[in-house]
Amino acid sequence: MIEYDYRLEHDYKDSTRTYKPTYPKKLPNLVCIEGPNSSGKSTLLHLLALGCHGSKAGVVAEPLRQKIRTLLEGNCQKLSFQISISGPAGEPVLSFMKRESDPDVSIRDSQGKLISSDRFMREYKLIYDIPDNPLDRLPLLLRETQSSQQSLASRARRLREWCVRIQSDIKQARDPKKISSIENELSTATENERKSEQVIAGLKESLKQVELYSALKFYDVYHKRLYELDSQMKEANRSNRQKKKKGKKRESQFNELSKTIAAKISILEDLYHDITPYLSIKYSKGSEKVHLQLWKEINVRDEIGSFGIRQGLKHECLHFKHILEQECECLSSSNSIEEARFLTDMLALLSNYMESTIKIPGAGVDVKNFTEMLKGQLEEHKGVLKEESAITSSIQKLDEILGIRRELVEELIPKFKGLDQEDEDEAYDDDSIPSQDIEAIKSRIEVIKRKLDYYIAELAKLNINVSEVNDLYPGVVLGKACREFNSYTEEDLKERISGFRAEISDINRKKNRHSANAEYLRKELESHRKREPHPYQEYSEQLGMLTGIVQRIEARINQYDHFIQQLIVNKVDDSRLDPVRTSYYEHVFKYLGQRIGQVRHADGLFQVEKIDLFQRLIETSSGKQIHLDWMGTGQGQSAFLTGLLGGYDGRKMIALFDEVAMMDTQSLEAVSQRMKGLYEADQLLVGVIVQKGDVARTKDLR
Amino acid sequence: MKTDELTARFFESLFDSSEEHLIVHRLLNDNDEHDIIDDFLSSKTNEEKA
Repeated sequence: MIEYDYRLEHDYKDSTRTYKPTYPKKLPNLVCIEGPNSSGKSTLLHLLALGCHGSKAGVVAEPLRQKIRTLLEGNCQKLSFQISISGPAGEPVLSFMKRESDPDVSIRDSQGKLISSDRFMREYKLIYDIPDNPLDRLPLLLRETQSSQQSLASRARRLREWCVRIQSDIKQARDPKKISSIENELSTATENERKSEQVIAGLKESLKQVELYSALKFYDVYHKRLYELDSQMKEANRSNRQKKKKGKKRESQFNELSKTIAAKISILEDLYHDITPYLSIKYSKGSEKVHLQLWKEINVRDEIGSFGIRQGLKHECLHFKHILEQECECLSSSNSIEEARFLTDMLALLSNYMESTIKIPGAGVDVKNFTEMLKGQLEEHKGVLKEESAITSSIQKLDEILGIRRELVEELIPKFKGLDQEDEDEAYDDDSIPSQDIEAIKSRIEVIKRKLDYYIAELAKLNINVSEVNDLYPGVVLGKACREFNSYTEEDLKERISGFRAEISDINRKKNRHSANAEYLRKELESHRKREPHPYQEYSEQLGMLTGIVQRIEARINQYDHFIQQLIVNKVDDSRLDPVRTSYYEHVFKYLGQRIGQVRHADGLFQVEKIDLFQRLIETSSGKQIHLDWMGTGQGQSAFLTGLLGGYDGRKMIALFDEVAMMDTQSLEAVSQRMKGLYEADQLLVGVIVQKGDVARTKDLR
Repeated sequence: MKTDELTARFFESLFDSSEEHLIVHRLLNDNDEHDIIDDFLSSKTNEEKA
């Protein structure tokens, strides 16, 4: 039963008009209302739809929805209404109410409790339509199908998410296989870490050996080299100092000797020139003339300067000395000279008694007179004495010449030449180190010192003091263990050390990775051991399969959603369909045919097999093909409305059909029969069909 | 909301594979996700045993 009442006041500005029900206020649940225009038929349907949330988007088609909203939102009207719907046994089911002041309609259930919009939508399905142009609107019947399809896709997505979540939970749960796998991985990582450590230890040992060998060897090499260079430096400095000192002394000797030689030569020349006149006089004639000539040709300075090669002076001196000595011997042995000597000696004796008055015995004269007498006699021998004196003096001079010459030639000149030679030798063999060479030694020392410092530092790194080098050197550098390095250069050894270090660093990085991995695995293992096992632990593989199946279903349905949307909006180019689309649309057309069920055409009732929306053909179970355009409007309306009633989704339906006047009795009967069937199956709560008629009346369709 | 039987049959007909068909059938019948998963795993286990 539908019990209703309403009051609708329209404000026409110049007047107002109030509308109230003109039909019975109690109507059966399935009813056909017939009447003239403005008799309130549509108003009743609008109010029912308003109560069923028909003003909300997506519930009814847009033009109708607008009319329903106008009832609620129009400023030039006032509306109040109340509708109560009871079930077949008269039990209350729903009630709608709106007071004039209420902004919205309140909906209550059988207990009188307010029903939310969501709950109403979950429990009831409003079908409100004006079946104009029904055959062209057949695709719209698929809107509901699309909605179900989207709902199915949504459920498939939820199922997939469940599967994925469970799989994720399984991964997070205690898994003996996983634990075993991690244990194996941990074992491998630990083993790798251990092996790396072993390799590193071996390499470090080798590195230490090379470093020790290198440090000891080159410490020794550079230490010795530095010692040598220091010695060189000291020697150079000492040598240079000595040279300087020696040079000064020699210069002094040289100068002194030069002066002595010059003086001696001068004396020699003086003697030569002194004796030459005597010899010239004495031997200018006779057998000695030749010797005298040789004498005169003598150049004393040349003879001395010839380092003794010329010996004219010597020979002639010896010659004349010999001659003079012979003459002197002859002269000495003569009486005259003996007498002269006697007289001289006497005079010398008597000179002590010159003042005495003693008479000389035998002569009878005093000393003075006797002296005068002796002097007289001595005067007679004066020439001989003078000759003897000249010869003696000449011999002395010649001796002197020979002596000085010998001194010059045999002592002074050689000594002078020796000094000169030393100078020459020193000049020639000057092993004094030039300053640039000393600087080179210094810079070399600096380089060697740096190298030595480097190896001292290297030794220190090996905890070796330089004082230990001598003890270690034989065992390491000369030992068998390092024999292979003997042929290595310093650079080779450095390269070897660098190579070892690089290799150690590389393996160390690998070891650290193994360590980090092992640490991670230990934590992972601990975490896994603490976890509880998942009930689906054994079904991980099957869950993976299920996830794959659901993913495929979801993907297919999402694809179908696109297909059906194109069909609803009539955007399908049926000449370019791929097999998937063709198959899908074939299924849709069959489904649509089943949804319509039966159609009446040309006085016949046909079971629909399929409605091909591309060909606009209805295929019947008997094999008849009816073109949609051949269908009458009423027949079309009947088919369309029947289709609208075709899908029961568990919600009770409230079906409101307006303006169905084009349907004849038979066509209307098909719709009312469908409604009746649904009502009896408790799938339809209310079914109202409204059509135009000259007389206002209602017809119970139950 | 439950899918009406006609529509459900339509959807089921879109899937040829028995496994997909079965899953769609259960989805359309509003089966709980856990039930669907359990049923699938049971059927797989039975298959493997067989």
